[in-house]
Amino acid sequence: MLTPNVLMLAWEFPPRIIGGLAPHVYELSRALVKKGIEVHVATCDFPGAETYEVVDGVIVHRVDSYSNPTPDFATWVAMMNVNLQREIAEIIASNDISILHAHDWLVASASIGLKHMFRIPLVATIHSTEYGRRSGIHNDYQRMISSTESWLTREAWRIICCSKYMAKEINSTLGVDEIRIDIVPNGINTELFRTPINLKQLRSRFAQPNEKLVLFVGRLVHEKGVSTIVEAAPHLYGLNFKIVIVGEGYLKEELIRRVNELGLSDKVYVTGFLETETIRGLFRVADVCLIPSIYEPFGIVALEAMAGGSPIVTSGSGGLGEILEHDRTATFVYQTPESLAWGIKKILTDHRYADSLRKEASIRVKSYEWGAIATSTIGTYTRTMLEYTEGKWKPF
Amino acid sequence: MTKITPVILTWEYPPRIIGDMAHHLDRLTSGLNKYNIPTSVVTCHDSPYLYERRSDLLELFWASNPVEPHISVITWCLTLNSEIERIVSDIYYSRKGEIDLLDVHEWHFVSAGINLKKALGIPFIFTIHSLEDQRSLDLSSPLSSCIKGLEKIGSNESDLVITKSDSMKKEVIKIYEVPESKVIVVSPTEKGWIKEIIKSYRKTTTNKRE
Repeated sequence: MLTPNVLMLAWEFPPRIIGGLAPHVYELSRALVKKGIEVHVATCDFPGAETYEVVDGVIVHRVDSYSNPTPDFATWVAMMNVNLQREIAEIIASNDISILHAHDWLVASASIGLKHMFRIPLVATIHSTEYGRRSGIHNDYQRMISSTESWLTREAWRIICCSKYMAKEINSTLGVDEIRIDIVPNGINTELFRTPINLKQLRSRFAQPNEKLVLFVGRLVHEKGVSTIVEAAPHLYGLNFKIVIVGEGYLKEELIRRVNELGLSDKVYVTGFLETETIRGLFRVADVCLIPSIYEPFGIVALEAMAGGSPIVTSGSGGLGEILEHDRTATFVYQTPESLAWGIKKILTDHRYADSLRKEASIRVKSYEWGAIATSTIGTYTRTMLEYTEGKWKPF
Repeated sequence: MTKITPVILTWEYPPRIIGDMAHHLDRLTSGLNKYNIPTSVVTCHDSPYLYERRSDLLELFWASNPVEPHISVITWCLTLNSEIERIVSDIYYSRKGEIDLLDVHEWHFVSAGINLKKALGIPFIFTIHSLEDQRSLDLSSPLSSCIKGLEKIGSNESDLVITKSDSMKKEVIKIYEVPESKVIVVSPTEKGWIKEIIKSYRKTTTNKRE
């Protein structure tokens, strides 16, 4: 069997954390190493972080990410790719690398140039598309990014994405044939939800002991459907509850204003940013977790709620509908305040039902452990290498 | 005399004429051909053709930008660099490594020159026609800063820098802190300038990684 030596390119890797890509690459690379794969990660530098280090077996190369002024973000990305490519060319020249794995458009030009110069096949993970992030393409800046995504998918031998929903989006917006796409879900480390902490004390920071804790975690933006939660609160009459909304985003002030307007300031608590450890603890003490998203390529928050043992009420949009199942692991509702309130009440009043959701979710979430995700990713690598070495057609 | 096979990287070559560089390169390739040096030019043009053989000794490879549209000359150039790398790699592998050196004209394809040197061991010459310090009306602008950044890595990571005049040589040494021994002057107005270029090519090919 072919054992690939992988070089991943990602613009963020801990301690440089911009969004969800850094933890993804961190967990995936560690899980791959545990399965015997040699993994190098080439990424941007970060103050205080070593330029070269081995993290749990992952060989991390941090590259000068270009700190001089640039006119805009996309031009910085272009200059960062120049530096990334220069450094990686030396890494590849002195290591036996058999697969390049690019994460998102931000490393496209470096990855593609390296693929051709070293004749190493390229795999690309598309975490999201510009079209999806912006709800369409509205100007030349976004068109350029979308075109770069399209270029990366054309040059990659296989494309990885996290859900069937995303596969359809990549197909429709970037024109990638679905036969070239492998669906590998995002993963979760459930161990992190079992670390001993004082849960009672943590809960008391957010709700009274006799209040049911209703939790939302996510960016406070339109596509997360967070406004529906505030509007659902008045419909929860008869229940003693506390809605805890965790996260930051442009809707934060508007949500707080609306909570005050409805006279619900003692029932809805908008916390803003919280530490990761605290959020994991909240998933463990919450009586119900709300995921009313309008747009959701995957829905990692669902895995976190499942791992934490919090029953879920969800819209089931996008990737959520692939992770969760109505009445087995979650309660599916419409994207209206009335329907959301109905789902919350159902879980808070029917303990046997809530327990059954919790139990089934705790079983199903195991299939999303990083070990399983690494196995699927190795499947993509192996297939790519086999087709590359044995096929008559080469991508060059 | 052993054969040398240079590949020239330039963002303009006739019929794509932006400034004087296209004409200069036309004279350079004609001159090289007169001395029986087979020359490949990799350049950019939205041409329906990817390849054009103009004579037994001159072939052109046209690269088109894989990304459209662009928001700046920097994003335009740097995505095109990956395509230039692809074309030069294809030439290199299909001819079993028979590229002796790259002659990179101006900053536009400096990134490709550096990476091809690191990846394939092909030495590269950075030919500077003018500097951003002389061209820019606002050197403090972020765009000028990026171009200067590319000129700097080109000057420092190339095997040899060719300038057209003594004053330009002095500027390069001063601005980009390049060792004097690495910079030569070849003025295209001087008789025998092609011979000087060929001499510099021969000297540089000794750095080729076998």
